[in-house]
Amino acid sequence: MSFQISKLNKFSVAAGLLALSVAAGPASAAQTKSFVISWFSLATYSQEGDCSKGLNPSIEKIYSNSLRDQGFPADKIAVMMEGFNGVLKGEMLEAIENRARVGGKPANIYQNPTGQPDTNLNPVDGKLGRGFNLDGKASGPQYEDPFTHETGVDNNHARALGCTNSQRALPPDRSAYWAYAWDGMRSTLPGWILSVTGEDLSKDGEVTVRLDRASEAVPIDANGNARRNTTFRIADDPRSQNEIKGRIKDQVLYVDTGHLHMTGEPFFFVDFDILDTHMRFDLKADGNLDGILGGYQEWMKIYYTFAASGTPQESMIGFDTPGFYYSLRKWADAYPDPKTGENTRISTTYRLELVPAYAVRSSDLKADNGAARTAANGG
Amino acid sequence: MEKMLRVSGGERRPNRFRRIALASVAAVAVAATAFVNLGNAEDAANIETAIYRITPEQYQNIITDVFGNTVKSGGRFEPGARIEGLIAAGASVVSVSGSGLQGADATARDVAAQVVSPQRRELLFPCAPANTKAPDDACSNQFFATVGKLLIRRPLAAEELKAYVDMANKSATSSKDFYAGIATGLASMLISPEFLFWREIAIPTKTGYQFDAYSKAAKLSFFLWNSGPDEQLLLAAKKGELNTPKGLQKQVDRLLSSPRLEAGVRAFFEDYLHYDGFQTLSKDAMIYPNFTSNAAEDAKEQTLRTVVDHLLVRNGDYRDLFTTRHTFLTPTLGTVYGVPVLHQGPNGAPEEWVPFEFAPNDAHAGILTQASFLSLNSHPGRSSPTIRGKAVREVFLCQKVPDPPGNVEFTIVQDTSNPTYRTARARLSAHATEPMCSGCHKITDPIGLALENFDTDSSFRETEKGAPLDTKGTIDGIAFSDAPSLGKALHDHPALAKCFATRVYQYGLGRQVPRSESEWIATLTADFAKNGYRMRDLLRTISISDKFYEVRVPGQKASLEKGE
Repeated sequence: MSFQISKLNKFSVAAGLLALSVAAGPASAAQTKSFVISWFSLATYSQEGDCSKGLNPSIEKIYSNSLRDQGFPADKIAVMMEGFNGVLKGEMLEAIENRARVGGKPANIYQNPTGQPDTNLNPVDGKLGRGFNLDGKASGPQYEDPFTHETGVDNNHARALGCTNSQRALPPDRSAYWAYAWDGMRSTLPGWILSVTGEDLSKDGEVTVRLDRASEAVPIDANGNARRNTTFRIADDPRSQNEIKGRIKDQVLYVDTGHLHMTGEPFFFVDFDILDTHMRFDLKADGNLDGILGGYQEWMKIYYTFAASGTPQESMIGFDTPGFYYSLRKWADAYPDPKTGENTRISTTYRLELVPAYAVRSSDLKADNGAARTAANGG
Repeated sequence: MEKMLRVSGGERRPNRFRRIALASVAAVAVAATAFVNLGNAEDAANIETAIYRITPEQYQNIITDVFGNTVKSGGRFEPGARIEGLIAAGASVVSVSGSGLQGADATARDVAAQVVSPQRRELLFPCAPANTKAPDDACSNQFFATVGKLLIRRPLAAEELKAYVDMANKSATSSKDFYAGIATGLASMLISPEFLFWREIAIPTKTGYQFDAYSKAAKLSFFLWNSGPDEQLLLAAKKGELNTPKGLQKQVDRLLSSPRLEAGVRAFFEDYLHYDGFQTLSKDAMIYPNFTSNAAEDAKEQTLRTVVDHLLVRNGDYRDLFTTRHTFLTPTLGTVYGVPVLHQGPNGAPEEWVPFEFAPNDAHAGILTQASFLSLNSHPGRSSPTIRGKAVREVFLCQKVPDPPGNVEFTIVQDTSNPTYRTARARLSAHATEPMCSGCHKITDPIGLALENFDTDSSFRETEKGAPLDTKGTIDGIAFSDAPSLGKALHDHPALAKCFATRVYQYGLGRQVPRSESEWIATLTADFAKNGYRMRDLLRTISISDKFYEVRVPGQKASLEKGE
């Protein structure tokens, strides 16, 4: 693969302990552009009236109801809630964290989400939503994408969780949960690099798309955003290396099928495994990529991203963790378990922004300074 | 106090006063009133021709030389005065203000505390006291004699040494701590004029004056190493070897072959390239988010590394600095230049420098196309062909460009949103229709416009506001088409080498070069050319020349001030 194509006249070589080779990729005349993900969130399209049954209860309501159900007297609940400012402590922490009942005894709710009854969270039932028609069908609850006008859009992930305030956002705004999650994760999560290789990326045509995990985290610029033009080393771990087919038409990158798997940041993504991958990214004039990535994801792993952090995230950001469990499970719409017949995956779509980057694979690295200098000098 | 410390370059002194700052335990004022004048009848005929305030870098270098690189001299120093393009040339006309002395006092105490700290004392002291809770004459004597010679740049006179030892003893007695006493004496040595300023002392000869050997030693070491003389140089001075051509050449060659020459060359280029400007450099983060403070620091370092590598490691032709594609980059700089540079350590580890070579057809060639020059000579939110052109003229060709008149209307130039004038060339062309502006812009703008492919943060661009950039022009009759060919034009410019030789000589002198020395400058330039424009040879030529050690008696100073 090549790591520098956007400015061919500036093709240069760093020679140091490691030197970067400029070997081409699949085809000798191929052109590759690489990008690092700079923003990642569930693709929602929250608007007035899209939750016809109303928004889901606030975290204060969830907690006070739970305390009531656990038998705490009203005056004590009032005192507890008076002191609650997003951080749980003492007796209230104990009660909330162990609000599940297993065999009649208190148990950790995040490990035992079925240890309390379904809170029946309200789903998004508006007509508009971001995503793809993953199953090619027009049946069942579906959206129309407000930007692409694709109909039959499957995004039950957003449907299941999108009536909770912390998940709601109308692009280009960002939801509270994802602003917290992504910004917190970004400083430690190694960069996710998307590379596009084709004959001429300025023209329509078939391309190869790679999504790989880098060894380096994403550095930030003076404004706190992902720094453009950073060089990343692609990690050798095959669990986070993906290659799928795509196409470019009218400077839009499309992927219509494929399987993506990335190891993730345990605190947020146990891992990121998408079947029937779809992508639609605008190749923008400023060099950035902007668009959506969708497919079917295991709903249980989505649940784990919420459950893994327990009360700190739930109480601070505000969402009903066991409620999410029931809702994700209820709205799961694909890949039924052969034994139980229950769907294991849920349709989902994520909104991504990416900035230009350089990607280097171990095969591109040479340990010999002299050879690199010679190569740089054209001989 | 300020009056007492004010540089008195040139006036004849009936006696050589050795001023020792006594302990300033409570406040600077104590030290200010406690200088002891020690007359020395033997020096009655000597003259002090100039006093130079040492720079913060020289301060740290001396401390490192004497106490090792773990002892740090923090604090802020007062800015220098730039004369004829160099701060070094203003080092003999600056003083230390009251607040500056307060800062120096705080720094001195801090350094002294580090030196006597339990972790360092065993390593840094040449002796151990008999009792750590009481004064120890013998050990104090040994300590101050050893470090004093290196700090003051000459052996201490007996009465000076006694004064420091007495001071340390008094303090040790009152504090019941030998090392606290040493710290008091050391701190007072570090705020003494003898340390903060280095003095050129001339002694009478049969035909006039010549510098004393210790002045020569200091002159050489500050010029070539940006630090005080080491033991060997002081020994050579003591033996009188610096007063013989053979002895001088031997020491000059030793200094030039030392790795410490790099510090001297770096110091010269930091001054020559006006890198003091980096202290206040900033770019609009909304427009140029990759140009962080780290990027600015790296930009400065990139050019210094390029210079050291080219001039010292490769022993290259100075003029090739304007065309070379060899440089060094960090990953951060890679994002500014838009080229791949890999972070080779673990996440969070400091970035490493890697050698980098821009391709033959790349727009980056020479130090004019490096981020340090481009960003330093631009506005925070846009490039500036005028400032860049002016810098090329003044820094590299030693040509003075007049400042703009006070009543100039800059609106057209500053308004980058005007759709009629999308490029800097268009805006400057419109602006230059003003008769009062056109004269100067003719000599600056064509040079700067050649660099318009680089925005204020040095990132590459082919257009401005969608309009293609025209980078063609001429400089003093030499045509160029873009930044690399501008570099080539400068490489071949007849004024380039002469300017450089003049500035290096001026830097070593620490003062302006009078026009009366134009013949010497011509000789120096010719010698520079003959030696293939190698900097080490230029430094050697200057360092062993009689001119470098020519004493300017007060009368000569007066003639210079009159515009000689």
